[in-house]
Amino acid sequence: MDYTPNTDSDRESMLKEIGVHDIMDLFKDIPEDLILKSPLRIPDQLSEFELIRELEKISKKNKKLLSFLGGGNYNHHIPSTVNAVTSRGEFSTAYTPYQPEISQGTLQAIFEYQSMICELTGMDVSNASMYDGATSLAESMILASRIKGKKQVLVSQAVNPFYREVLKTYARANEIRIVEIDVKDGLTSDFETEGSSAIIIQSPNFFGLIENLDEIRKKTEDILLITSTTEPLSWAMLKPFSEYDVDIVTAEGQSFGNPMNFGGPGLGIIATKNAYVRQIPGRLAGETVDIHGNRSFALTLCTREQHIRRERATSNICTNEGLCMLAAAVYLVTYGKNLRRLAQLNNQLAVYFAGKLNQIEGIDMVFDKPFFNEFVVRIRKDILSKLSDIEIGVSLENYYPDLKDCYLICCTEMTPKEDIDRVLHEITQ
Amino acid sequence: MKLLNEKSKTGSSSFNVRLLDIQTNIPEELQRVDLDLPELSEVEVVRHYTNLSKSNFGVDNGPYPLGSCTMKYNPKINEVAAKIPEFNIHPLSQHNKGALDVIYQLQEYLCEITGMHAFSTQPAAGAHGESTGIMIMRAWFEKRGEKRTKVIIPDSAHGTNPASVSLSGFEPLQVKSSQSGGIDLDDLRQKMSKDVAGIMITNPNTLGIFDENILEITEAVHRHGGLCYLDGANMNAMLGIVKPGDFEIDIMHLNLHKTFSTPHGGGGPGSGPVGVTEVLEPFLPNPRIIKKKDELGFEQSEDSIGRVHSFYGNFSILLRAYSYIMAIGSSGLRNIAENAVLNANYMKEKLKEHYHLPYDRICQHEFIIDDSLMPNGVTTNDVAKRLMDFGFHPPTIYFPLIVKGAMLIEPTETETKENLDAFIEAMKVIKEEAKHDPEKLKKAPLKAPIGRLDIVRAAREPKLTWHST
Repeated sequence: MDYTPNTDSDRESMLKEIGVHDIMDLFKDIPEDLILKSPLRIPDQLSEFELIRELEKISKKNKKLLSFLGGGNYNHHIPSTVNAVTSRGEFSTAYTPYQPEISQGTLQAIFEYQSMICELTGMDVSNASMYDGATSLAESMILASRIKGKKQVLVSQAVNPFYREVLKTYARANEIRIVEIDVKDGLTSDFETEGSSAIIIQSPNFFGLIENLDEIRKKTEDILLITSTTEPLSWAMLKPFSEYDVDIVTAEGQSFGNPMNFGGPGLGIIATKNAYVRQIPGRLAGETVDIHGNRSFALTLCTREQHIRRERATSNICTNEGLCMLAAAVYLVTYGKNLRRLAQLNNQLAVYFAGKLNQIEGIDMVFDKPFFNEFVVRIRKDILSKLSDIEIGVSLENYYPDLKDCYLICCTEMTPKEDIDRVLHEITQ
Repeated sequence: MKLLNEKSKTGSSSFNVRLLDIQTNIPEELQRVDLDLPELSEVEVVRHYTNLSKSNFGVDNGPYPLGSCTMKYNPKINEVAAKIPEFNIHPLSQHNKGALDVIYQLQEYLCEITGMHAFSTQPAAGAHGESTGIMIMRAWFEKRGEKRTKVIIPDSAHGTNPASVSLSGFEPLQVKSSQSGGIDLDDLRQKMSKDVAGIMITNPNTLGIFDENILEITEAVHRHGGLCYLDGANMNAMLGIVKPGDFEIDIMHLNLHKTFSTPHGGGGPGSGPVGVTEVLEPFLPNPRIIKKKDELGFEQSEDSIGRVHSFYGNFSILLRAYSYIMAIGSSGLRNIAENAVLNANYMKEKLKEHYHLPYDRICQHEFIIDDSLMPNGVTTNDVAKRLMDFGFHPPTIYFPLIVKGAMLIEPTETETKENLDAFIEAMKVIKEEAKHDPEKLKKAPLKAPIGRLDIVRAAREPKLTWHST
């Protein structure tokens, strides 16, 4: 394939108009020694049908099994409306809406997305997206130390271990000290707030458990409370974070209408209180009017951003996850209020599976606390060997040496009761 | 157009979910009371977004010569590729050889194209790649026990460069551009010291010029032990022509959503892989995807800056870019650079008869004109808005900052000569209108879905959700 339409005669006449003889005359600023003498060692062009055959062949090296994997990426059904909208070229092939007069589609969609995220979280403002759950958390950590002026943050060990790795990467570059808080019975344990800017809690946490945010908030009046959520479907069922007076809410929004896609692209969610609106990273769409007085939308409060403020910007983020945000918006409005029922179904399936597993000898629930759609069990090795054609869950001992033989199991509407019963049958056979 | 909440009608959503007869384990006091998401029937949802899309402009609608953004055609086959069901697997699945294959092979291709030794695909966008690269710089000097605090950035750089430097704990130090548009070598040599970790350059730069002193620049930085970072936003002009590794670049990022044709999505998702030289390979983000004894797998390095993404980056974007490279092959890559540069030079020569061309020389894939010759107070912004009426997306405007009233034009290789001629013609008409009917330009756009916006009001009284009053 080749996507360049210029014909030989086009090229010839254009060179003539420019006043040069050879295409290489246009590269004369490049020191001659640097010009490549031989073609790149990359295979020859393919036709469309050869290409797709080749890619399908590669794809078959993956194997899709019945899977209960979660832990930061979730297998949810994607309503047919989502692809119908996101595959429209007017949305997918547009740039960031810097020219609002011909970008109202993207801009209104952002405004509506921001509104729905605020409805789910109870917060005042949401931005137009970040890269993923981990980086929106990392940028919130930096934001908090800027607001509070202290270069130390508390991070619960019940936060997703990959997220904690990303926090460490960003903390190192910004000379922020991370103090990790132990986990006790699956929940964040005691801590001292002195000297810290913020505390970072995940809820539901990495073990799927709902953290006691009431208690945590009471102990953290002098510092910022930042939350992370990897399964925001839980928000449709749980009390919004605003009711715990959370300062910054972050999440991975992949669950809302975006495929697993081997972990990317995700959708970084960040929402906060009005007080911090001029501090948050990334783009914001706001309402305004055009010269005829019609309601319209534009990117706003841009003086926070890199293209205006350069090194004093609140972040370096430019391209975000626009189309994933659009998918999330379509997802949320397609479900509407029924999103709560979807959340309840996810929870019911997990409760059912957990209850049944707990009755089996050799399998134990590790934590006895309310969870949303993920839970941890310890599985005896001989039982595990019966499950070779099932991905039963995320093995935890790599991240938590104490949790030997423990697995994080996730249920969604894509693991219906019949599938769960099949697993139970295979175990008990 | 009405907002979703204004169209909402209680009970009209039919997207049903059947519940099971199982009691929840979540106590009532932890549950929310209500969830006030809008309720629309499915057809109303589809119509809402279809109508919104009509007020949007993408590459699929028309030419989009947005400088520094490489708004080329996004081949549809890549969308088909990205939706192959077997690629949609969980990131922690053990049965991932196909996905690893794509990432590994793409890394290899990117190395061959750029002359770098190793790539990480974790960064999710260009700016993410930049901060990752600068963190690698930082880790390199930490390992050597050196404390360097500054990174040199040209005054023509994109805003993400200084912002990335700040976000990664360095202080940017600005270096001037010369009269001819390259880096002022004397200024650079004067500013380079043991306190400077390196330089962050864009080449071809944001003026569309390949810096002819590139080897002197990298040498000046290396002489003081500094590292050279290349912002690869403009790689489109170099494909198959020249490799950044050959001009002694130590670290660079690519924008797959520019050079490798993955759609911009109205602001992402993008992908900003970072490539480095052999000595810097151990500092790339963890985990690496490498080949060991013919087997692909993950590897952790002790010297790594650590993880920068929840998983391995924007896999479905990587897949699209891989599909693109496979489709066009080696000769197709070179063809891109040649035609992108040809198209830009053709437009530049034609437009300079009507508009001021601050750097009158051969350009690469993009070039700058400005509004200094416009009569009756007509500005770059007016020209941009009026271009919409002719069916074009405007160029990048008021950037780079070193040219007053800049219009940065990047036609890309996928536009036909007829489209280029139509754009040139529109610019000519606009110039005439500026002379005879400037008011028309001040009111533009006249044919866009809405009129010119009150941007100041949006910022003065921010209304960021439908909840706020």
